[in-house]
Amino acid sequence: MVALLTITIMTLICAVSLHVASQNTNAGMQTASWQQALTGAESAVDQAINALNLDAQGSSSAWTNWKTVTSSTLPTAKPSGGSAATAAPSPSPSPSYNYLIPSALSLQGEGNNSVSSWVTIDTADLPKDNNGNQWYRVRATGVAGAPGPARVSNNRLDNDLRKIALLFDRKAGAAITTPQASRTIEVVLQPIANSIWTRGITLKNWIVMSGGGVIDSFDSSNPLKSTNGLYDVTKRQSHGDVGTLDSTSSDLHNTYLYGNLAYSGPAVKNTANVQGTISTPFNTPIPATSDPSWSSGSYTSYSGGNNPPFTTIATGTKQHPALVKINGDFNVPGGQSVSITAPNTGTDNDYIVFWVTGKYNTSGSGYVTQAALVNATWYVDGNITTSGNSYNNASGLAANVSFVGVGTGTATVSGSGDFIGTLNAPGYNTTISGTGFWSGALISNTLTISGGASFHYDEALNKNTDTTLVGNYAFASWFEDNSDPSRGITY
Amino acid sequence: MKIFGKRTRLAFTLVEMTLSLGCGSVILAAVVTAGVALQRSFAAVEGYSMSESDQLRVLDYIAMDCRRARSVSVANNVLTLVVPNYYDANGNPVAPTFNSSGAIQYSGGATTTISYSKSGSNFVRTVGSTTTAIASNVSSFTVTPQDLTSTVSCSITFSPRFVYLPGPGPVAGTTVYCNTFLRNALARQ
Repeated sequence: MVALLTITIMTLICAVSLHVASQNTNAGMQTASWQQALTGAESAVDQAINALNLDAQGSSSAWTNWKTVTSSTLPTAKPSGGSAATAAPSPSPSPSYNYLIPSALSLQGEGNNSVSSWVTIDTADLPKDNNGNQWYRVRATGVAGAPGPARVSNNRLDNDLRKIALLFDRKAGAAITTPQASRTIEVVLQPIANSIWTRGITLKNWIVMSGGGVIDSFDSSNPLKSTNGLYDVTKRQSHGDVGTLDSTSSDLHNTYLYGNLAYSGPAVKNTANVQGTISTPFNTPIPATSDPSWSSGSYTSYSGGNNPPFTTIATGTKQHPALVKINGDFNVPGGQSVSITAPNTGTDNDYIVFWVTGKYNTSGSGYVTQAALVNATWYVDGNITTSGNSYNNASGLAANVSFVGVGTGTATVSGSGDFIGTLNAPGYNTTISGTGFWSGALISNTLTISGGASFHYDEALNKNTDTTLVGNYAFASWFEDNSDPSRGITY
Repeated sequence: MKIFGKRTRLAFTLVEMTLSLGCGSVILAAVVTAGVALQRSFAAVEGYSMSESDQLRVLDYIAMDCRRARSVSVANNVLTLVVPNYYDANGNPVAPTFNSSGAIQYSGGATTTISYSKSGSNFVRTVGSTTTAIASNVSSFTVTPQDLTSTVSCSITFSPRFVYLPGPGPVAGTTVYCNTFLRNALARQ
């Protein structure tokens, strides 16, 4: 009798132990499946980004295996139907979404061995940027089987987090035959163009900054980050990044930098007011600049001197820009001016390229005025000096004025006025002084900012330097839907 | 003369009884000892399983919320995250829009605040005003506020649950780490 009782008790103990161990194993399997589901969802997002990138590059295979459905609402379950997609989804008034059901990911092991997914792309009625490039919403769901019996975890907290579907898929609103874990993520993608202006200031050597000025950023293409395309301190952004390949002798004198500082070499001095990150090392290629190569007869030549060779000059078209070579110095002394006019029809059809073999210099009350629709590029072989409001960029857009310094020299922007444009002069020592500001971006050998002058990096230079060129798509937001609206969990 | 018939009495001999009682005792003792050992083993495995379950749950919670957080702050070793509300009051998913700064938002900018901290020996997750212990037996929690615009680093140490071990005894604790990239951080938009 005693033996029978003992054996019974022992059997019960074994049974309970096995049951609990089984539950633990089941919970472990469900946890692993939940992790695998995210892998499936993320791989689906990757495929969506790849499709958009290929589409931006004009690839004919961008939408292979994708389908398109004309609808303003996205599916909550695995989509079906539709026709073969040939282009990116369209916005309102005829909204559509493209979807892809990638091949299931096969795994080997004791647990789940297959992860499926599906992904949709639509515009979500997000606006285009000022250059006409569309933002997109990507929503992806990964599903992984949860091996084992349809049994909830032995810990309620696991169920709150992972919400394993045992008999019913709450997202699709349908019954299921085998347990599964599913995770849904949604990302918003913004178009990014290829550009040399990935940061505000790129230097080969030191930066020294003093006075009460700041380095920060704005976005002339986004009305929420600029006012009429111009810098607005109330809409200041913090992407005025600075990078220097050799920081020897660099000193910020505790001036404010609203962005990240990256350097190679000794630590930059007095960086207490850098509002972003400070990191080292910094490595980036800085391509050398060179003079344009124009064929004989394709350009107009002028002789430089103490006075400008012309007072008014017209642009060419975007396809055939006016090419102007100035042999010698280009001087605009006090009391004189040069006007660049835009005679062509269209809002993006007035282009002109200057090549100054000597110095570029405006001084005193002399100035250059560039009409609002003009896009001008200046190649300068000598020193560049401009002061005050001596370069009036009527468009207010830095993308429309490009100075390219060739070889070595100095570039000086001074006075109380503002300069809006870019400078690509990796061999030049640049000085910004006075009380005005420079908005745009620059590449230089060294940089000195003093006298209260500020520098405002225009983020639009990096996003879209060409109205039709999208180099890539990047995350603007990333969100995982772990909500349960029926229980009031809305996030 | 009466001859008595041989009486047959079936029984164990003293020797047999002694041997059987001895063997039985040994077997029962072995079974009981095995049972106790099994229980100890079960308790150890259960403790390990629960700890691992707690550790995975904590890491999964923090990683998920950090990845989708718009902003992060750390004060007094409390990690506070702000995540957007993805659904409206009727339980319908909402479309993304831009806020006044040009960043992506959901539900007109409505958000939910989630915080993580250690409370006694529990590790708690607080959503709004609701606090839930998502793990127990926690001995320490540390958040490294290095760069809250890009990553969050945390470490959580769990005390051992099964401590009935001969020398040198159980480990002091199990520490798990997470280093999560803030994919949705507003500061980078």
